[in-house]
Amino acid sequence: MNRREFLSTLGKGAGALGAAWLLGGATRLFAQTGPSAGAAVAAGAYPDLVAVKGGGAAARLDAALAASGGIGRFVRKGALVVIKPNIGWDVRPELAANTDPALVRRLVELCLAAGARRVAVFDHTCDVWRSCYANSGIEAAAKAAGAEMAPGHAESYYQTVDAPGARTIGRAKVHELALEADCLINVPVLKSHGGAGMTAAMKNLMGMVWDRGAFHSRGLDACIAEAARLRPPDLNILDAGKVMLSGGPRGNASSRYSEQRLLVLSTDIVALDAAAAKTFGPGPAAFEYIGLAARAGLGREDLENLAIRRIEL
Amino acid sequence: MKAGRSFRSIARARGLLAGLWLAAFCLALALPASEAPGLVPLAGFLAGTQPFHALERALLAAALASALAALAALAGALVLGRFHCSLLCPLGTCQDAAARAASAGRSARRGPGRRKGRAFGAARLLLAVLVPGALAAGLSAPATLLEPYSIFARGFSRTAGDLAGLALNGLEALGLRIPVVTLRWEPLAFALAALPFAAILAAGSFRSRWFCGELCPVGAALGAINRLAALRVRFDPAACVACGACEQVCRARCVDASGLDASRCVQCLDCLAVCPTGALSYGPGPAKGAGAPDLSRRRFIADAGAVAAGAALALALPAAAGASALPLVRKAPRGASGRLLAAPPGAASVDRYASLCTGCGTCARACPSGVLRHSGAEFGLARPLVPYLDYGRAFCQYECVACAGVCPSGALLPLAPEAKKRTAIGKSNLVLADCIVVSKGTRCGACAEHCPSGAVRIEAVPGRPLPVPVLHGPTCIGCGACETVCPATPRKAMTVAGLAVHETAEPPRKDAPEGDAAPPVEGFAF
Repeated sequence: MNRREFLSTLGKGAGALGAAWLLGGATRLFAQTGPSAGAAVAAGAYPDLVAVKGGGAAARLDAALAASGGIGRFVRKGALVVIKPNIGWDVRPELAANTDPALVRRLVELCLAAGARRVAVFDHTCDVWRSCYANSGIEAAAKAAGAEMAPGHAESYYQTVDAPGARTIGRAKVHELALEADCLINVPVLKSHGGAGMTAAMKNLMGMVWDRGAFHSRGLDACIAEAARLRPPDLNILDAGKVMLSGGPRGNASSRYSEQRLLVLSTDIVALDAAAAKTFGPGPAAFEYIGLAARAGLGREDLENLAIRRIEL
Repeated sequence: MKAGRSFRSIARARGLLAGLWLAAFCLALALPASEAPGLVPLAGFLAGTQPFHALERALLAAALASALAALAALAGALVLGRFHCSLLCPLGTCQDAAARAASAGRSARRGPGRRKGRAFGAARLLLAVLVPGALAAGLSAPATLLEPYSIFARGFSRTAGDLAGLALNGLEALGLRIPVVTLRWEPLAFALAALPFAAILAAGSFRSRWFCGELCPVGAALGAINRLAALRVRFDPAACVACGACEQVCRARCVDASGLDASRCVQCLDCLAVCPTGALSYGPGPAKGAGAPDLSRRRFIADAGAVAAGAALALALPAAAGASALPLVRKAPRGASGRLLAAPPGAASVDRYASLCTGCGTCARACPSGVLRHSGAEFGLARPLVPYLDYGRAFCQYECVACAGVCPSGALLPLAPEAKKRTAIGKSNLVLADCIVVSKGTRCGACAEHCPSGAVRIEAVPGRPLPVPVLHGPTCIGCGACETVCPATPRKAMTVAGLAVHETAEPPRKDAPEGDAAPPVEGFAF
């Protein structure tokens, strides 16, 4: 599919979505964005947030999905699944600056087993993209499981979107695969971050955008809080296996780490970041963008009022 | 004619090998390493086989591989004469290919002119001495402009290479699932690289291998040896019937019925395949007639005079350059911003590097981030095309030592990755007033995010409402990441100036306790 075809499909899709809305068949359709994901799921049937502790990354993912209705709740047969891990840096997996490749691998396997037509993995990297893909271990893991590694290093991959409510960001260019996806899965790694304090699910979406510099110059917190409006992920899976506590996001010789062996899964990106903030230490109040996003109605930071399923392996 | 037939297959095999060898160069240099990182070792290996740089690097770096390559080239020349030019030189074979393409479908007579050139071997010898002599004196321009591999490498990259990139991007736009090739338009480098290359190929289409016969310093040096080579083409005037067959095929324009100019002959053996009488033969020992080593007093004096004149010129150059009002050499090259330009890791010092670099651009081709770009005259008029790091568009990758690994001339010396991480090629400078945290009151930290050595950190500072970047100079290696990503306008808050002499940076600070061994955290925090 070329970009022109894609844009016309996008237009038709938007029309179809509007028609579905008018018919009133699926009130959760908008929140879920996936083509048919919402219809089958009654609200409240699953926990708002699932956290799994212990075991390996793949086992944590399996347990989290089992408690969330299985991968089939998110990935339908024939779907284009786009996975957005953090692959920002040309560093070894042990340094935990990128998402755990074992987690990406398992996720790709599950998506394909659920009947996905195509699974693509990409990031708009900070270091040279080929080096990041290769040295993070994610390229090998994703390909071994049957996914394709899609490039994100050139402006021509990005389409301008006008997200209502994203006033600080303005018109941003978002990777065409994220826009095209039937199911977009955000798979961030939890770590410290020089600019934002902490990076987790919302901050990871900056890697779907072309002009990252604009986020910094326009106000980092406001832009991060709005990033979830550009193309809301259908599912967020936080890798908090080994958490870089300082020196992030790249990490350096004096970075400190915490072995958390934790995975958190939620469709609510704000709740996920709130849980991440508590795991990271100071809690959601310490990170302005979490409050901004919650007040904008993009999700909930009041974890105490959410249905949380905690699993220890 | 029997001998002619066997020489025909030898000549054909030579043509095939030369074509494959050229194809390997083209493959290795067609795309920047950002697109085809797997080809970087091939580029380094091929560049290392070229004799001018091999000798330069063997002398500079005492590198074993280069010494072996230089010795092999010398030994090969003593046995087989100037065969390098018809077999291993990419610029030579490229001229043959271009001439062939230009005359495709036309008769040999309408092809590139092959009439024997005037013998002015002495002038070429002068160049062969002057070019390395000037390089030794710190003036690289003659070598930059005349060394054949350098002409080929940057010329090919900037013409066919960039066209290949454009073609791939065209296919991508049509729907082929391949990554977009990042192409960078550099008008000056394009002009300085592409135009001479194109001119040489064009000239070769009118006068076969015009550059090789008239200008090439490597060819001149090898041609001098050619006259003494153990095996060579010999000409026997008594057997020649002046049929002109050799003249029609000679790519080096070195033979006709009046004799053979051994200094031009590139030992392609094509003439042997067509000579009907055996007047041209191949073998050891002296040949009869004009092909024999011309050791007459007159010739000897002319050659010795040319060599002496070249040496004298080379020796006089530094003084002349010093007295010149022109900015021939700039030991502190500055970019448009006024800051010192940074030389790649492995350069040791800007002056040393710029004095030895012939601008082949193999390093820039091997650079995965594309931060390396050819200079114009920033390093001085006598040091054109020397690559430097342009932090405006990219930054030097912390884990990468590709440029130093492929440099064929020794201008960049090989560097281990761990040594590179401590090699300061520049130093960052922070102007907090220009930082958007201060000027706009917004959180940022892009510099610290990208800093691989931990030299920049975002810290709470008394009196500042928001955490600001704090720079620890001694650990900075000048990679330029902070400058590239700094979002401040119109002036970046973080800028990097090159170091005239590279330094060893302090190791990354370890002022925080290592947490790797911390036990797993039990329970949930929420």
